[in-house]
Amino acid sequence: MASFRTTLQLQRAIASSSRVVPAPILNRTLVGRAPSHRHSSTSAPTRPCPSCNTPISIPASPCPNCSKIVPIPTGITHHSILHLSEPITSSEANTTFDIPSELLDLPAYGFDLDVKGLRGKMLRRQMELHPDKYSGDDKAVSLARELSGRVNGAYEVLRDPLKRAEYLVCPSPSPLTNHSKQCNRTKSDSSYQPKN
Amino acid sequence: MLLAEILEAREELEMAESAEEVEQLRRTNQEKVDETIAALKEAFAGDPPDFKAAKGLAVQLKYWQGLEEAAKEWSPK
Repeated sequence: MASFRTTLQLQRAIASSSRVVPAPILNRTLVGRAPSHRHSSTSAPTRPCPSCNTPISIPASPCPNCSKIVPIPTGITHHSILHLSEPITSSEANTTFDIPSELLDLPAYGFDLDVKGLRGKMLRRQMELHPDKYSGDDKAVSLARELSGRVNGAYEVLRDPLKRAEYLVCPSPSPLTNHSKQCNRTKSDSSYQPKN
Repeated sequence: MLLAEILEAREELEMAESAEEVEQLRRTNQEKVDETIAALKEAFAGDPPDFKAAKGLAVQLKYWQGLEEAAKEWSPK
């Protein structure tokens, strides 16, 4: 995909994509499944902003309170990075994530998504995380570069049906997820236990 | 069965003599791609999702997309 060198280019791209009406990505009735309540937490988990300590959502950056660019935890789904869903934490410390439960709440396990709407979300995130916004602060610039790279990477996977399918069958193993355990789903498929 | 289908389609592409033939092949192939994506959606929509089926379908999709790439590069001999 095109890389956006200036924030102006990004703004234009967002303006041209705003005509797109996002599909009801979270409308679970689309796949004929009742809203699931597999996880007990009702509100999205938060973490303290590393800069101002305000509780912020896990994928949030820059901080909505102090506007500082902050790292985004690794091990969250591509869907979370692009704000299609919220991570579900699987530990008290909110540092490990229950990826299967999160994806089960999305239409077709996160496979069914509207690519045009996805592009709009990607552009908005790139706007928030654009390195130009942080010029003058070398550390912030390099963090912005890293995070926009992650946003791009997530978009490149999710926009493509093949890469998306491969990702959902086996999200890249990360030390912070327990999802990689499920990648060797061969005969052990029956060991998959949806939580009810 | 899929392998036979793929091999047949590959052969058709190799034997193609006109751009029209290749276009026809690409149209048929696009249908396969769409069908496979629809089947993937169904596999993932299961409760629990059918990961084994999805894995197989992803392989099929890769084949059909590979064929599309080859067809795009086709030029008359």
